[in-house]
Amino acid sequence: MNSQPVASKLPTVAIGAVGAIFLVPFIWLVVVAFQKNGSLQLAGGGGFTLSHFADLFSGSSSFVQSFANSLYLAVGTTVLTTTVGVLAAYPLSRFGSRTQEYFVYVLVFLTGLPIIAIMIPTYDYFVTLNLINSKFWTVCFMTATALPFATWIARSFIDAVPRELEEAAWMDGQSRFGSLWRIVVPLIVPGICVVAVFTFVNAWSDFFVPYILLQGSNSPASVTMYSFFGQYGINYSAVAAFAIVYSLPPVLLYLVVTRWVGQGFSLHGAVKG
Amino acid sequence: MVAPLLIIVLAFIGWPIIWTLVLSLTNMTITGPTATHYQFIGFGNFRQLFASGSGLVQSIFLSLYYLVASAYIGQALFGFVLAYMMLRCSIPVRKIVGSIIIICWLVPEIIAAWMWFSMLSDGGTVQQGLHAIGIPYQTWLISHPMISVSMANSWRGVAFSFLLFSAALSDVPMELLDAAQVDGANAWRRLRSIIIPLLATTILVDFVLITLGTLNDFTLIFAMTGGGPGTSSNVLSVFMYQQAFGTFQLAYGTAIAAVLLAIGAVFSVVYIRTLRKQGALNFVR
Repeated sequence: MNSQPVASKLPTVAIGAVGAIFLVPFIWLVVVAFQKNGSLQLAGGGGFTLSHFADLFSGSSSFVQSFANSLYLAVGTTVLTTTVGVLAAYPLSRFGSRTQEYFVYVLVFLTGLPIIAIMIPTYDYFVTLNLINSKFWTVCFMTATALPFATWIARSFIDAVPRELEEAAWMDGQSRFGSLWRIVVPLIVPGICVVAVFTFVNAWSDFFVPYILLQGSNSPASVTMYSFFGQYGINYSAVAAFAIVYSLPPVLLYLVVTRWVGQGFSLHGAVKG
Repeated sequence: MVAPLLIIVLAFIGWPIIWTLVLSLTNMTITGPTATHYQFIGFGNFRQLFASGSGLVQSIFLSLYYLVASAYIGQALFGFVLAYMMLRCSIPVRKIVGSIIIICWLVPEIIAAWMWFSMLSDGGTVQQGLHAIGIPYQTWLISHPMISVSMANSWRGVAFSFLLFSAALSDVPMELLDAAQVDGANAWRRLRSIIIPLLATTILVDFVLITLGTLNDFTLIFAMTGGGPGTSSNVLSVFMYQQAFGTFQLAYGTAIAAVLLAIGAVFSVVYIRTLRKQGALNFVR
């Protein structure tokens, strides 16, 4: 091996083959979405058409409604999680008391707990308190599940901001909130983006929580998508078009933010803490 | 400043955890007289759960199968091999394939489930493709449900381990590997004696995180097989759902949830200890 690993034939071919195999589901999805009458096979679906994408926005499709619900859940959860998370991360980063230290342990512990295991009692008390089938309360629950990880990541970004900068601001008469808002927040914008994108992608894709807590016209796209499973006489092209548009936001967001913040960003916290 | 977080987390996570443990000791159901007038029945649900024939043993076995096949082999090992081979791969191929793998991970889980569900169905692309290379024609979701969902989960989740290992491998000093080679260490020896020890923490972190992620996975299996045919892919999370919402035995379902919580808690503690040892939880003082 040279000082820099040189590209050699065998790994390149093997990796290329893996990439091709991984691409198969997408090829099927995209081809079918643009066919007139797509099926499980690539061939025989009829000519090229954009009508399935146009149909998504027609009155009879459940797309617009469920897409709007997904957006409500994802944006609501992201805004609430990021705000509350950064606010809580600040003292956890700055005041290194014993209590704060245990608090961080609890946060990490909660990060690992299976959310699905608390869905039954959550369902029960949402029914009892009449919070069921409300997008707002679903957002609150999703925020709670996203907060431990978000706060922990935000803390690691705040740790990197030198205290001296803030001390100067305090001398000038800034409050804690003032120095957080005017000095720390502008410096951790990349970190806030990481937290926001991570939260958004998870909330956007979440199926189980809305499946339990929301029904009917409040269902997001993930739950609508589930209703297409195993349906007899299903129009594969129409569902494929739905699937593509629903998949785009997380993919595009990730690509835009990695361009800007740097690759592998979402793992920063998991690896380095 | 911590107050909003405390209120939200206590109300929506803390309370449900306590309520899980409380409900698991009752006989609550979704419908019928015990829906509102439930009683405490002690450890009855757990006795029923741990009795033979409850399906718990089968579900634990299936969860372990899913964990080993789709997470340890299909994600961690495969992800490591991919990351290792990518080091010696031409740059355009590396970039393109890396992006494909990451996109598989970003696509909502229910969409991944639908694509695989369709491709493995009768007449689907994978079914046809595997038939073409000499594997007997069959409906995979029925003949081999666990292989089907494990394949889908590896496809979807390998990116996480791959990214983790790629980042760690790029930190391994090349001089060290060169020196070892000069001293006569072959590729396997360099991997075993240098790379794996240097990546020990990353490997542990990866294992803990994918274990938690896989044990908590519900959507993929629920959507693709619903736990079936019969109960042949009824992993713990789906088993819990079936009991609570399928047969309406809410309290019995929470007993299974309590088992899931306990398993999750053990791995969470392992995770905290790993991070502590690594210094990731240290305070800047």
